[in-house]
Amino acid sequence: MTTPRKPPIMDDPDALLPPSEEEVRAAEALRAALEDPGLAHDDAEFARSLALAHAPRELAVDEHRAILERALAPAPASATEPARKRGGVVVRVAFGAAATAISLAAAFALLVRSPEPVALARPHSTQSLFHEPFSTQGGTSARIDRIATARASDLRDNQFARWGVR
Amino acid sequence: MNVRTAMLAGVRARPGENELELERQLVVRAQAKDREALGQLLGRYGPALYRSVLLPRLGSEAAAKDALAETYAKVVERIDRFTWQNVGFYPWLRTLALHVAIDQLRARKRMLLWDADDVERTLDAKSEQADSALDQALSEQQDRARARAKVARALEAIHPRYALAIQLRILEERPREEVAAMFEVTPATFDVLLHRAIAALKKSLGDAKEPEEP
Repeated sequence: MTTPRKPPIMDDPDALLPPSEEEVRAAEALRAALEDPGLAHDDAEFARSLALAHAPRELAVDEHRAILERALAPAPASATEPARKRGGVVVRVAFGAAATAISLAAAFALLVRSPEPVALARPHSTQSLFHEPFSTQGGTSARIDRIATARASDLRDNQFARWGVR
Repeated sequence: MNVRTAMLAGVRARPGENELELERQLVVRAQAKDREALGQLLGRYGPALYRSVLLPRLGSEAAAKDALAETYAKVVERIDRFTWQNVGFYPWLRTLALHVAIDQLRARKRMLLWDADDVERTLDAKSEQADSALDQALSEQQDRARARAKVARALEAIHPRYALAIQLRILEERPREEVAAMFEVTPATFDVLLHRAIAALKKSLGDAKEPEEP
């Protein structure tokens, strides 16, 4: 890769300004934070966000697997787990029966449940979009644009709600 | 890279019918609470989602991992609401992830390259694309091209000397001493230059939040 040509220094509005002591300290803090990501520093974090937007890094396979496994793991058994260990056959049977009953109930609920209703934007007047009096001439296109934008926004929101992505 | 360039680069614009049908079957199984099928879907698209959607917008690996985990949790919770539209699973997953990113950006106090409004504009543009059969590889290329273009536009708005300092030291990650030598200044003077460059860029971004190209 060829190195871009250095711009002439006289073009730089700040080039001839000597840095203040405060500026030197801030520059040193930025340098340290860029070299050590563990140091909290707003400008260094901003700089790293630029680098990641420009050339994003891959997610390590192991890390992705761990995130995926956590997401897909069944809900923890919580209180039932220690009790099962302490108890004997009787407790295991009791919990087994309870689990069976819960499973059957859940299966029944799955069979009979209807899809969750999704709250959608309802048809409504455009009156709330206009607070100023209409002029007798002109402005029609702007008003139509405003209505179209609002309707497009409603449509988009409805679409996101139906998809379950909001 | 725009759509046309990506297509010319040999990226197919539409997944094969067989591939789509296999994916549809995985979705059906996932909706029937088959965790393995859901794992296959997420395993296929998750890395690209992290790399091209979440990481560039959130600007930190920790934040992007959190967002990916949250996106997966929402997928598990809402997969039954997904309606197959013959464009595959990725557009839905991407939209879900962008909503998670918006929430994170709204909660963030520090300035980043993207803010929540920028990502909302991406969503607005994407909702029109959702009906078109863009495959994941193409969508990923567009996302990455969009991110690079955003960085380039931001740098164009500041003094070229500052832009070059950021380009060499931050984007290309060249050693400090090497970049200082290229500028013919001492490393300590270069530190000041870089500090001023980043301050100028943040000011420029803060002064004029430009609309993102769809």
